Amino acid sequence: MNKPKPDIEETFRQLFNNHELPVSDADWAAVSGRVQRKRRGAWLWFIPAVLLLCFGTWLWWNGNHTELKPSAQKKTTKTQTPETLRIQTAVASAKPTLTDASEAARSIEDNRREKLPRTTGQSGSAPETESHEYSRSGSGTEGSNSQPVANESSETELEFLSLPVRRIQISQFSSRPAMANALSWRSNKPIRDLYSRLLKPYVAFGPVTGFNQSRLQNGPAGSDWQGKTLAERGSSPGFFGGVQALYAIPVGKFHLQSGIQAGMDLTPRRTNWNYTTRIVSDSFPYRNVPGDTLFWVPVRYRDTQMQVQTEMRMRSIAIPLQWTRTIALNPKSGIVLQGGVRLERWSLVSGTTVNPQNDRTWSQQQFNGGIYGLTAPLAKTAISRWQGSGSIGVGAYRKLNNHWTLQGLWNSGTQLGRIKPAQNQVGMRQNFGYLHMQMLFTW
Amino acid sequence: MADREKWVDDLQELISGCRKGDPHAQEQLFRRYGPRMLSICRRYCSNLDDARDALQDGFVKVLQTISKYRGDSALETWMTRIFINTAIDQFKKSTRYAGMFSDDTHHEPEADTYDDNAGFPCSPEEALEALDLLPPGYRMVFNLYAIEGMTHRQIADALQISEGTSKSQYARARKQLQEILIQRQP
Repeated sequence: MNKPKPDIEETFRQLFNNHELPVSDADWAAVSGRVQRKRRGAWLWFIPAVLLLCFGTWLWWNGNHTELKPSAQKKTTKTQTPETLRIQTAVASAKPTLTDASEAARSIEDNRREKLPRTTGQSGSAPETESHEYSRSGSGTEGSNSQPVANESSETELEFLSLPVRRIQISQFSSRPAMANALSWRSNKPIRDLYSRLLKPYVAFGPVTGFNQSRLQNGPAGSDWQGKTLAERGSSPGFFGGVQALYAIPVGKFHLQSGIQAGMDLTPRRTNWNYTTRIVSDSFPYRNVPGDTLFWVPVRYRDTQMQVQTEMRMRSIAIPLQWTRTIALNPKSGIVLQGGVRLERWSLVSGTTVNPQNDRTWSQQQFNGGIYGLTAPLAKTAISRWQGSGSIGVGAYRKLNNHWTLQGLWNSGTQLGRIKPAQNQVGMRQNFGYLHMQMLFTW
Repeated sequence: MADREKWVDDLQELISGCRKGDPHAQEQLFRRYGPRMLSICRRYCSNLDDARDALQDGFVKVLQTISKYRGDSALETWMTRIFINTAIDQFKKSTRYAGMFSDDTHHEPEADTYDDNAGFPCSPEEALEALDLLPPGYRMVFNLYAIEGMTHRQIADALQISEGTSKSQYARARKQLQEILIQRQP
């Protein structure tokens, strides 16, 4: 009988198959200590957030116990939006020392009934009406009649509260690359109006939810996933849900918003749900926390909004600067002008993080345990990219009724970039344009 | 069957507890899988102290990333990958790593000269002693190929060497291991 040839690999494999070595309590103590330290360290990043909230609370408390100087009562009303009026109701009732509360409340009630457009005027006299310009703020009460506003309260300082309060947005992008559809719902209902002589914080607190359907988004030249859809790259539609707390600080004629937003992404991938926690912190020094970090500093002046946003997604950073201006031509429709620039740098490792279903990368992902996608072995296929783009947009909106608004916006621009796929440097220039159709529901 | 189901339920509970940061669950996980993982680390490290360091590093990673464990594979398999990666990272950090494979880049794998009569290790301890006598690069490649079952392509990617180097390293490791085992034969 032939004796089978011994196999040294098999021998070693069998020897170590169920082999164990005893661990000591000291090992566990060391592991436990390090894990606890790391956990404590992670919470340090929430300290600035907590401090900011405390600061905002202090301002709120301070504002509620501060009486205005007489000079503050003489401020004139330059703009008057329906949203402002709505919020003034609370101001008038909460701070009777500001003005004659009953008179203010009565005038506001009158305004509410009569759906005022933006008006201008001096304190104590009938304001003039700008019939060619209307606010598009969220309460949807802008209407056809303009009435004098007898308003002696400090609405100028509360002007920035004319932010969209509640809005449902349904978007359709038509471009390549572009997001196909998006449905988001945003609620920034103020929980308390605030006032302070130094700063005028505004707190908005509410859920932000969204749903991104599959996107068609090209990868950069040289990447493994160029030209593939998210589905082909193993991704899938995702949901986002969260809450945010914001407040605005007037700086000159502008208002700077900052705050905190926290939520969670739910992404069904294949038959599984992939849970990713997203922490969004506005205007804080950013760090690369697991998940996404977003720095969002919108600046608003009347109905013009300029938004500066810094987003860091693992290894990417983007600074978009967007300017939007809406001009009402009549109570029901108007035009929208938009301009923006965007500077972005990101780097990624194609493979594990992008297309785990590719044969080679899948095995690498398995080998890497799914968590070391950016380790040196995979860095051979890393791509880094600088890119900047500028775009201008023009569009129009039409109010269909008191709630629904249809808006179309054509955006066109140029993108310049420099890509480093593997060992090669590739410069690129790309013109782009897309049509963004939106249905906005406000109430 | 019932025991198996109970074991799986216990494991799910353990994983859930670890995800929540429950220290008791974390310690249970360590007690359950620590000995096995220490054995893996020991194969890649030249002494037990280094292996314990690797064990601690690996477990910290496991406990911090267990929320990413999706259950596609067995927990032990997932943890094993992490510990192997940890061992590879430590191996790369060693100062000798840079020149460790440079001499072998173009060597062809040598013929199998294994002697049927050569002695085999009869215990894991003997096998570890034999592995300890191998140069670190040889031991790493032998472990990855012979015991973990990785391909040379995967090893090359992991260690940032060429596939040919991996093959030649493995052939040399195998040959030297045989010689060690023959010499240790009584």
